[in-house]
Amino acid sequence: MINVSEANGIATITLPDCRALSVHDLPFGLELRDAIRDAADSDEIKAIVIRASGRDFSPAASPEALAAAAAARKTKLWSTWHEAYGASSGLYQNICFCKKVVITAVDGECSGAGSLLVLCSDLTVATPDATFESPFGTLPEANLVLAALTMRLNRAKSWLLSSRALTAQAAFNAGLINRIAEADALDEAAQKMARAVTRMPLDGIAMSKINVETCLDAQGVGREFDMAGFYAVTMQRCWDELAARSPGVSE
Amino acid sequence: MSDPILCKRDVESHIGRIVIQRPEKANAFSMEMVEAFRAALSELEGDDAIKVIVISAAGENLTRGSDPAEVEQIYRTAPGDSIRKVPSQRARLLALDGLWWGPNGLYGRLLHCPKITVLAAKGLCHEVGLYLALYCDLVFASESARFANPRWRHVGVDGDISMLVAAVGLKRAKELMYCGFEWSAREALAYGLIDEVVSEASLEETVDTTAALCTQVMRDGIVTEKHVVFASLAKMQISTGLATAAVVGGWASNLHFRPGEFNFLREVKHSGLDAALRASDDYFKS
Repeated sequence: MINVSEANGIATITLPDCRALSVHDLPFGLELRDAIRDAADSDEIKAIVIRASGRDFSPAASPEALAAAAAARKTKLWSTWHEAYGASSGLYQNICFCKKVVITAVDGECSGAGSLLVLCSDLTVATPDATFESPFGTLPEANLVLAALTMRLNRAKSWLLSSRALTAQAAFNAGLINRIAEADALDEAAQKMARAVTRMPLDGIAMSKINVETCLDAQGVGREFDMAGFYAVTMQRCWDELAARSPGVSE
Repeated sequence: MSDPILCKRDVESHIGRIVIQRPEKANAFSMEMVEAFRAALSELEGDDAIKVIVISAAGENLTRGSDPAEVEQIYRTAPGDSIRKVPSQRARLLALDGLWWGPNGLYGRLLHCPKITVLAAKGLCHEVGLYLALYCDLVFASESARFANPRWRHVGVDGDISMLVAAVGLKRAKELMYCGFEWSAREALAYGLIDEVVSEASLEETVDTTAALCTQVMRDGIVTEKHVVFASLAKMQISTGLATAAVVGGWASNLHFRPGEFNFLREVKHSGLDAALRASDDYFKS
């Protein structure tokens, strides 16, 4: 499902879209995590670009699919789910604390896991039509500290609490994305950014990422990731209550 | 030849001034200038009549950054086996801590200055210029101002980033760090790095008017407010960022370059400073 190509110090990871991640598909999450890890471990790679082959980077999952994901998470929370999504071995911390520079290229709808990938990546290019929905309502591993550092606290809170998706321009103004490029120029814009990264020495990139990691650690980003399992338990109670009131949703 | 750092004080207006004046080198900071800047800060901080310190520059640029001609020399004048062919790690750390990041370094001093600091930014505001913008209290820039840290392209991000992230946000900070972007004055304003953009002609007047306004605040109020800021900076872990900067800078002075990567120091040694600077521009534009 995931295609990885490597050229000139850049690993380009192409997903169909992020739907599977939004419903915590374990094999998909582990496959993407391993692709990131392999690229991060390679001395030939300095930058990693994550893109989607589908029209939308991350279409919204249906309430039924989210309810099913929550139910499936119940039995795997502190084992496989934690390993794939919540822990330091999981997908998002592997991106956030990656020793290479990670760039996301976003077109169309970006919700759930797609928005979290954007938050965890270092740099993001998006098309004018891209929209960014908060990942906090559906993903317990979403990191508010990271969002606050990226967008500033008031905007992060507003994104978390409002159901309104941000337009590309609003996301740019908030600091969630770095550049806006037309759809036919999106991939080239992301590759151009990646090429700029590859001009730095490999040692310098690793050192820079450690410098950033120190800053993130000091601000509590790692501790917020550590809370993911506990947020998942709380979220589970919400789903259980909803299921009790409307049995059809959880089945 | 005029002093490269000019310190003036006007007791009547309560305004002290530090002027960077080495325009023939785009106001590149030599070690001597760092010392003079710190001495100027000491003089003005110690004067109870002074409430506001205005930092400005002669010529078209604020500064292009630390003097590339001294890129290795700074380690050779530091204590710790610095006379050997390859400076020791402690010489590197002590140099970076003493000159820039430590409690007595230029940035540490500026960040913890008990007076109100106002910066007039214009032209190149690179490296040291970027940090002056981050560590001064108020920053006014002319339309010509450009903010970047080209040094990071050579060695990686070896300075404090905590203040940059706090000022402009994580992703914006990263585009300066990893892509070598240069922000215009308008971009810097939109991202929150600076407070106002004005025309070239009105920069001095705007800064002076603001400085005069700041002097209306009573002395106790200024020092109290500045200490509230210091407490907040500590809580925001900015001091951790400065401490990390010296350590990371020590590593960065010791990088291993892979084949095909641009090694600025090696270029300086082989081809001289001017040729190395040209080669750097060519490499990063290609």
